[in-house]
Amino acid sequence: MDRPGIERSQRESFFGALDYWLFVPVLLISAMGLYALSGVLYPDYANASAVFVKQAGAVMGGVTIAIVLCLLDIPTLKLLGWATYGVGLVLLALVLVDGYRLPGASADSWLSIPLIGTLQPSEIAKAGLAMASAFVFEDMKTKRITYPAGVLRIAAIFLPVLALIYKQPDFGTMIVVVFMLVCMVFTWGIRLRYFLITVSTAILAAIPIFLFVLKTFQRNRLLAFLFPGLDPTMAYQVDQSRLAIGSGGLIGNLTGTSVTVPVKASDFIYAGLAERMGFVGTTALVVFVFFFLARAFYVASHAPTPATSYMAAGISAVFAFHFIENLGMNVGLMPVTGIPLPFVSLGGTAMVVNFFSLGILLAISMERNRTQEVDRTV
Amino acid sequence: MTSRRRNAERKVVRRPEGRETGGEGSSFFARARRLLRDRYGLLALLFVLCGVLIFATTASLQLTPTAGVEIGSTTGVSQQRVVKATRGDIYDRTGQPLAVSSTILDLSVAYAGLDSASLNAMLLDLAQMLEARGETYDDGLADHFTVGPAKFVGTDADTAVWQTDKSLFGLKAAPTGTVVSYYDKTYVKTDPYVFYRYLRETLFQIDAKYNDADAYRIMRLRYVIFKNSWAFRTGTPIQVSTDVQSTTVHFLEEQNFRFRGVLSSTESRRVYLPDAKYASHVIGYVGAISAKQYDELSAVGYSPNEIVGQTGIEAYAERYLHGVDGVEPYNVWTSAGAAGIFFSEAAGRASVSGYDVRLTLDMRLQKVAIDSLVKNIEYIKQKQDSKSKNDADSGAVVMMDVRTGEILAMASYPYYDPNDFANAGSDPAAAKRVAAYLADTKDKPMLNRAIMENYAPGSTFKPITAIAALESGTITPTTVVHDPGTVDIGGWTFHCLEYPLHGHGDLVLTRGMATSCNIFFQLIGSWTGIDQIDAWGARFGLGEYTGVDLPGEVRGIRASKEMKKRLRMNPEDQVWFPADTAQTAIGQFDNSFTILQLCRYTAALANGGYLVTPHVIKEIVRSDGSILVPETLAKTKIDVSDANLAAIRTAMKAVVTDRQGTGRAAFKGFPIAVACKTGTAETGLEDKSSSNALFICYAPADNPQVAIAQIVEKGVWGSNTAGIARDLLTAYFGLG
Repeated sequence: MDRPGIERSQRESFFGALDYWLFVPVLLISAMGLYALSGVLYPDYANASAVFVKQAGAVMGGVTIAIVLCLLDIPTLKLLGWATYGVGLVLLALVLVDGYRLPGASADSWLSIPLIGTLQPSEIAKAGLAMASAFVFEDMKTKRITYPAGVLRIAAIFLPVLALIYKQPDFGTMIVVVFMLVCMVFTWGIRLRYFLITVSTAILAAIPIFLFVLKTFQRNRLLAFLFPGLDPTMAYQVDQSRLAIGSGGLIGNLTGTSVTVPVKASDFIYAGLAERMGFVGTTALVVFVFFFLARAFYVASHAPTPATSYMAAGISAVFAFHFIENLGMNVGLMPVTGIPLPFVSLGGTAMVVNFFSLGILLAISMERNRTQEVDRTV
Repeated sequence: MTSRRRNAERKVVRRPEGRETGGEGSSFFARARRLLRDRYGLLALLFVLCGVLIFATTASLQLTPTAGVEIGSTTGVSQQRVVKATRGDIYDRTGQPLAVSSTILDLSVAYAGLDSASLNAMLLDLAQMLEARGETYDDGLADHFTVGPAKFVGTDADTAVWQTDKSLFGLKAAPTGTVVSYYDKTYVKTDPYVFYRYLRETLFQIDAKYNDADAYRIMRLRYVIFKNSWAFRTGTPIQVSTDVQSTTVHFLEEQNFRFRGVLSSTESRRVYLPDAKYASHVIGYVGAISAKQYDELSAVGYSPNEIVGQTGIEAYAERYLHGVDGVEPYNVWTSAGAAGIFFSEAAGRASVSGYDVRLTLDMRLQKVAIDSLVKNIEYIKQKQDSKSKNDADSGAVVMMDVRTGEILAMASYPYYDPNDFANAGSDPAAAKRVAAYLADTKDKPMLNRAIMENYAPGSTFKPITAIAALESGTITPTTVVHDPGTVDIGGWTFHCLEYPLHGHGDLVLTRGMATSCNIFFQLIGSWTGIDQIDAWGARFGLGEYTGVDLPGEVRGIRASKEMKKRLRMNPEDQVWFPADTAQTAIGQFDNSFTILQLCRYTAALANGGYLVTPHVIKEIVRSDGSILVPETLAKTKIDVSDANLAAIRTAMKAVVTDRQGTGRAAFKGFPIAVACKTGTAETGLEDKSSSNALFICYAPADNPQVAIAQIVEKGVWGSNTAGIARDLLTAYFGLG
């Protein structure tokens, strides 16, 4: 049902249709991130201003990408989804090629590409997976294909990526991908009993396998991969992080001293932010983050087509996982893994990829605003 | 809003689980029930709950006052260590680097509260890790004591000295007849096996579970710490390994909980580029601070284990090159429960790199100077000559810009390679060469023959005699002096070298200079008197410090009545004879000057009577390229008449142009007019070795730019060396 007049033209104009509830919290998070980063960088980095300028540039670039993506319609999103998936897969394969692998990186998950610089292809692959598989889920939903055919396709999409990530090996990212898949399947509408059966079977199967099938060293290795926090080296990171957060107090540590936290600029940026901005800052950040997450799921649930709905759910799940795991690890609630805080942690390509994902969410939200009547009273 | 969404979705899909209960009304409970049925809502709710948990944890951390107190009380007690400043670079006037610094990584062990057993276990772990990675670590113990089987390396006396060293073991000689046990802590242990058990069980308490090889690994490292135990206990990290690979350091940092107290640091090490050896006497080298240097430099904050410049520019510009050491806090894992009190790297004070030194030397000319010096010494050595003993072996040459005093080349042969000094600690071959340099009293490669040695100037002194004679009005440029072949001056008979039977005949100044006739200068010198010659020598800077910016310059000796008294003990020998004046006039007797003084005086002849200050430092440059200390040009006008100076210059030009000129052959066909003077200086050892060959010149003769002074020791004739000056001028004027 189209409404004529001002209302409609407003909806069809860019600024009228833009989802400010989604966009503004991210801008605020990024701004707080840059502010926190400037405090962390200056004592610890020799070329702090250059690093900071690069990070600020990545935010600008990310915002631009997000705004450009807003303008896409659903067929284009489908194309872009498959393209992103393809690029992600190729880049993941490239990591295994010697010439492109970033020398000296701890895991083989970094890629070094001339002109572009270093990036983690799994970041791109995650976005590609959510976008591409969403359309398969839609086909299953609308019975355009049978369930077995659909499951086969989903497997065909996910398994190569998981295999390549396993090869790196990067168990943290594997968990994120599996978590995303679970969230997508869950929102797709799998019967709860199947869902519960699958999850409990997996857990029940894992325990005997873990306890009896695996040898001790394999068990330890798996434990170390899954929970590096068990490693005694990590204990002090969390202790230091908690100390730093505590030293922030109500309005931030203004004495000029700071607590040394390893990788404070990237993985432990929340500690740096808490130290600099205190309870006021952390409250604001947590509110912005979870408002953004809630809004992202709202967008998913109100998406104009099933495919965009699952797509948004997958992307939102990845965001949720990153935010919760990173913040949780900073305060000592979650094991330490190398997962950065989206829109905040130091790292140009991750920043750009995060804004890319945000752009997809924004595009879905705008598509809805354009094509569907909106009840302005709510 | 929920209903709208549902409407939208229903258009396309039908959800498997019923939505029928959704529309039960809009009470709070109904809405909540709908939310729980909505899977998106469920997920969002789950995540927001996580958010609440995170928020609550953060709040509990930040709103607990003790958290802030903890940080406040820990920042003040950090351990600190010194960060050595990077030494400044040295480069030539064109910017070609000669001495730079390279960064290497070191490992140290700091006190981390470990007890003896844990320390031993950690050190063994460290030693095995280092060996597995092909690193070396301190082996000072092996200089005195080795195992398998246990034995002392040195003689009994050496061992006794080592064991009685009060700053080390501090043992006392055992009274005869005493049986010294390993657990005794008082007496020297002469039995190696007893000493082994003393180290192992008494001193380092190495557990019996370790085998001998592992125990010795522990001993090696414990010994390093033991040697510095006071510093170690007071928080100074003790260096145990140097020049380790970065991968080893990364490994250690990852495993820092395992290698407690092990720290890495960077150290800059002096590296001399290959060309630096051609200018080694100017650049100098660095080495460990000596006791004497420490006495001087401790006042400006030097520590007893500093690396400082030992000679050359490295020593002269030490205060610019050295930089300011910084202080940084360091963090170690302690065995105490309070692990992980880490301090910000922002605390402390960054080190400030030393300033760079730009030299006036032009390495292109410097290399020509060295090459030509070597080539010509070799040539003179081979050349057949009745007076030559074919023993030429060393020399020096200085080339100076006559307008500014900038030294463009200062070469001395034989020379040394400064890298041997820089590497002596790690490279035994280099250490051997260093020992050879220092022990060589015959060739004296360490000696900068341009400034550290006095040489009789011989005939190169004659322009001074001539100026004294002209300025005192004794002669004019046109005065004719007769050389009969033999003259008697104050009872001494002097012969003309070239024509002892009939002499050169009638000579004016120009011809006298060109032929370098001794009789001519002995006569005019005698007429002028020693006091005038002495005074004019002083005005031209001979026998005076030139003030060059290099350490070790000698003053030289200018013959005078005063000097004769000062140099001779016996009153009978102190009497001045007219013959002494005659000898002084031809650059012999007590006269002996540095090559640099000769060059500076030649420059004064060339530039119209200005005495410049020779220097090799062009400027001191900050690391950002801006200039800290600009070049200072100092010159003083000598009160000499232009007409007389012009007469000397005409005479020196004639040395090349006159058909009998002593420099004629050397500059035959040379496109630029050169003014010069040869000098053959008797050393008084002519029965054993050849005379020294000297040469001074400047060019172009009519508009002088550069002056050169040079010597080839035992070079027989001054004119023999002219090839060196010719090569340098060819290179300078780009004629090659």
